[in-house]
Amino acid sequence: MFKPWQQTKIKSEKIEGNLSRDLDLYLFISSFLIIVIGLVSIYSSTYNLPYLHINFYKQLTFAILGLLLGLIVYNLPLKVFNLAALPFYIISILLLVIVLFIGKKVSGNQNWINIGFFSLQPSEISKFAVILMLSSIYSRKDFNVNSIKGFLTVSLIVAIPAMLIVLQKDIGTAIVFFSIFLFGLFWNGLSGFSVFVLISPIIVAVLSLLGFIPLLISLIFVIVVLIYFKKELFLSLGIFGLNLSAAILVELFFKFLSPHQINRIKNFLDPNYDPLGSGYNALQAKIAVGSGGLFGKGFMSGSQTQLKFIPEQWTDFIFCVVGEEFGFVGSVFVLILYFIVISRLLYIARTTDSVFRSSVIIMIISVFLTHIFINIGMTIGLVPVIGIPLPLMSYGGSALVTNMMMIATALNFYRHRTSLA
Amino acid sequence: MTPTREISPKVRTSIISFMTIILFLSLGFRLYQIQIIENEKYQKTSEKNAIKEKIIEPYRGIFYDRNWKVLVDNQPGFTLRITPYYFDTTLIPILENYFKLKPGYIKYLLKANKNFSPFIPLRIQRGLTFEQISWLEENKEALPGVDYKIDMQRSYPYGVRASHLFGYCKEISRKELEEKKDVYIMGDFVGHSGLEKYYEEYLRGVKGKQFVYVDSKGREVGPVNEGKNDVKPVSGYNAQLTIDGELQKLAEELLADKSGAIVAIDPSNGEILTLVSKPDFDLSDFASLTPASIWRQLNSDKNKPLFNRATSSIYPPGSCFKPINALAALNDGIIDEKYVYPCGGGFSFGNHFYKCMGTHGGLNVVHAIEKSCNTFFFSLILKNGFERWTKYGRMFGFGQKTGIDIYEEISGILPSVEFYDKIYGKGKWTKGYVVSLGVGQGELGVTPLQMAVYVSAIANGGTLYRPHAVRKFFNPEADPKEIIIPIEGKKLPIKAEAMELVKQGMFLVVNGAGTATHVRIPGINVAGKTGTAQNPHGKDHAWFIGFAPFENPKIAIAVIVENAGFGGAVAAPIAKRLIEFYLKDKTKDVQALAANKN
Repeated sequence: MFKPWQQTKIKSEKIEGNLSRDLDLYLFISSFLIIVIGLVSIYSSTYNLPYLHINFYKQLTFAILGLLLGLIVYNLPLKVFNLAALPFYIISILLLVIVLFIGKKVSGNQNWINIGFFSLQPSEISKFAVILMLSSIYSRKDFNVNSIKGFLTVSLIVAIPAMLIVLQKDIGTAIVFFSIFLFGLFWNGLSGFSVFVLISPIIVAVLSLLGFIPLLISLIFVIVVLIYFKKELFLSLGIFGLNLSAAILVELFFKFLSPHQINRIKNFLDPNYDPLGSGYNALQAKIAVGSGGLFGKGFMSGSQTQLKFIPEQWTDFIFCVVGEEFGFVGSVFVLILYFIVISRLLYIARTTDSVFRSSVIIMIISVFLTHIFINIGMTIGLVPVIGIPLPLMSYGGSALVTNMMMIATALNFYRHRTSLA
Repeated sequence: MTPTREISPKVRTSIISFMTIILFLSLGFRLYQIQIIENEKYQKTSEKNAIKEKIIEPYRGIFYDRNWKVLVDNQPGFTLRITPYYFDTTLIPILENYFKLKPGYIKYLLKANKNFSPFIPLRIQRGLTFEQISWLEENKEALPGVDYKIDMQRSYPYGVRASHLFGYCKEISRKELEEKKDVYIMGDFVGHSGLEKYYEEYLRGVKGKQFVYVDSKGREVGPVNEGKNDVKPVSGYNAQLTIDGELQKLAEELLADKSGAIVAIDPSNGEILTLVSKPDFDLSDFASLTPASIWRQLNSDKNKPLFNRATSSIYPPGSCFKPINALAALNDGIIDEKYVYPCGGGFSFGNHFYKCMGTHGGLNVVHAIEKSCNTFFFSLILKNGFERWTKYGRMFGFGQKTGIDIYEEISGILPSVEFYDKIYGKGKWTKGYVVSLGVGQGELGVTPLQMAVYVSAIANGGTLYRPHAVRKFFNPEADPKEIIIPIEGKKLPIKAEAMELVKQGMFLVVNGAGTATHVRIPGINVAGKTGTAQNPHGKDHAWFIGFAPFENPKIAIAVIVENAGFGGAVAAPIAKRLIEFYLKDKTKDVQALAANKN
């Protein structure tokens, strides 16, 4: 631990004059600010709960740990990432298996491994592991995304951890995996038709939940697109059948969901459904953010936050603190910071002259974008309540450290943007 | 590298950029919508959400007697409560069993309060014992939504019962709640009878409000704005009654095993010194939630202990009404002091002979009162005429409510021409119907209270005061600090000479050869009149009305003892004991008290 730290220090002194050229300050500073705002929000939301206020100090410790690890990652040679992909992937799969057997149950989800002073959440780590593994596959010279073999390889790599996570009943993270899967394929040249085949059943399934008319419209749309692509009749019929069965399967899928998840979805579709039950969190979160107004109620002064109207707010509903205590101004500021993060990542992905590295970055973007949109969206009633954390802000060591590693990786890639590794 | 990858990196980047922008814009727009446009709505909800208004019950006003002894006080009691939101209905049998509640009672309460917030606790049973509290504490964890609260209940520290006068409080009824929504909430206790009801407005005080923050579970987490917005409760006005606690206690003892009523009044102002109706009930049974068994018992009791005989029961006044007959004749000059009517043992009218108690010979009005000669008064009512008699009866407050400060009062019956026309038909009754009214029998119906008011008016020389049991209300916290109950009286148009003759007659009833000579008290001149009210259902009721000291009356009293026979034998001694106590024993006490103070 001591050695790399010293190395970094020496190195940073050495390149001092070139700091702005080597370090993506936009990405670094905005990520840093998001972490700080996250800490402030956790501080505020746990302040009145003596037994939980320790969470702030835990998170602070993880932030410092993440910073140290980040410095290591930032200074790793580029080839290490590709070399580490397979072992890292295998380890993360093993952890996901272990968690199924010895996992700790937290509010219906069984996804924690208790190791002494903190709980490890393998599903968080596995996101990064899958990203590296997929990128490693994409960067192979003989890889063709539009071949059956290539597609199946990629699907398998994602499906293994995703299935294990679904077994933990963590639907939110499973959605993130699907997003990683799609972004990676899309970035690496999957044909428009294939993208359509992947996405349309989901859209059809979601619309079928809204009723028969939306389902009908979506199916007509599928037919129109199929005609446009002019594929073989047999294939087109097969894809149409896939879409139709998705709509039917969604009913069966509902049976697979736990009752509280079904309630969440029903509640999202009809806000008056069970306001004191499953709709409660969504409603209270919306009240918290909405009551913040333009400038907010002030730090530590949000009544919804301070009075614990939103259970476990410091995890999935951390954005409520920003919304309530810092208002529209604070909320938009956070959105802008996230936007800068995504834009910079996108810039790095675009300017990095390597399939491996740009694939890593683009899938990191998919993780961030999905998390940000679903998490903030659910606190303001735009998306059903799906329990996934807000990157760099929500309480949780595994997620924070993993996210920081991803940012550190991106910074590393930026620093080496001209190298040919 | 595939050809696809070479051709379109720019397009792919653009699609992802475009998607990112769309997602962020939708988040931003939604934030704008709820934080700026709909802010007010959410702000209100958030305030309502987090701030709970807690009601602080004020102390109910205390009752003091005229000598500042505490008659009715407050004491803390424990009340079992259920908060529906947290309550597990499977606990109902356990609670009903342990607290011996009627099966189905809790279910009924829960159902009846369905429209109210499930967070408002329902009172289930007041007056929990220490043992029950311990049981609740021990089983706290197993009894979600069940708790107890300390609230104030009435206590009666002085040992005066005065059940019918003080009255009691009861949980507010749905109907009453509908009418007075702005003042009361479900579960409030309100005065239900007696003074508690009549002066409810003064006694209840003003509720305080405390604003506290509550968390999502409804648990209080602290005061709002350091309690600066809180409203302190204002205690109810304390009342100084006109009642003499000791006299009341004695009166209750004297009538303890009897059925009847005693009303004593200060003739100089209408202040009620004592008001007793027996049989009565123990008010402390009503201090906490009254068990159904006690209710059933009180309601089904043949002796009607809940019924206020002093103000709501009517009896024929008997001979006690003779002085009115006399006053009517004297005041209007129908007869004078010298007028004499011979008594030969009865009075013949039509083909009916009305018997007298004896054969009195020739009597003037004073001696007719003294001897209670029926013959004299049978003839006198005919001489007066029915209308005159009715007029004087009404003048002394009969046939109408006295206006006492409790609601349980009836007006009684004072027959009149209209009254007889109504019940018998016009022209279908004769003068013979009127004759027995001359001696206070017949359709005449009076309350003991009316009799006390009437004898007070005679005592004070002809002023009819509105009887009242409260002298003043006071409360240093309130505005105004003091409310004096006005003395209302009207001077009756009775000539002094007429009044004097009647009083003389009443003096002789006790001090001459009258019907109540055993009421004499050494050193105090008592005047009075006995009466026997014919009771068609059994033994006659015994009346005594009187006042003392004769020269300067300080107490006027009416006593009726049901089924006691002749008035002089039973009712008069009770009155004597009370007058003696009030004027003699007490004076000593007060003098001793004054001596101590000096």
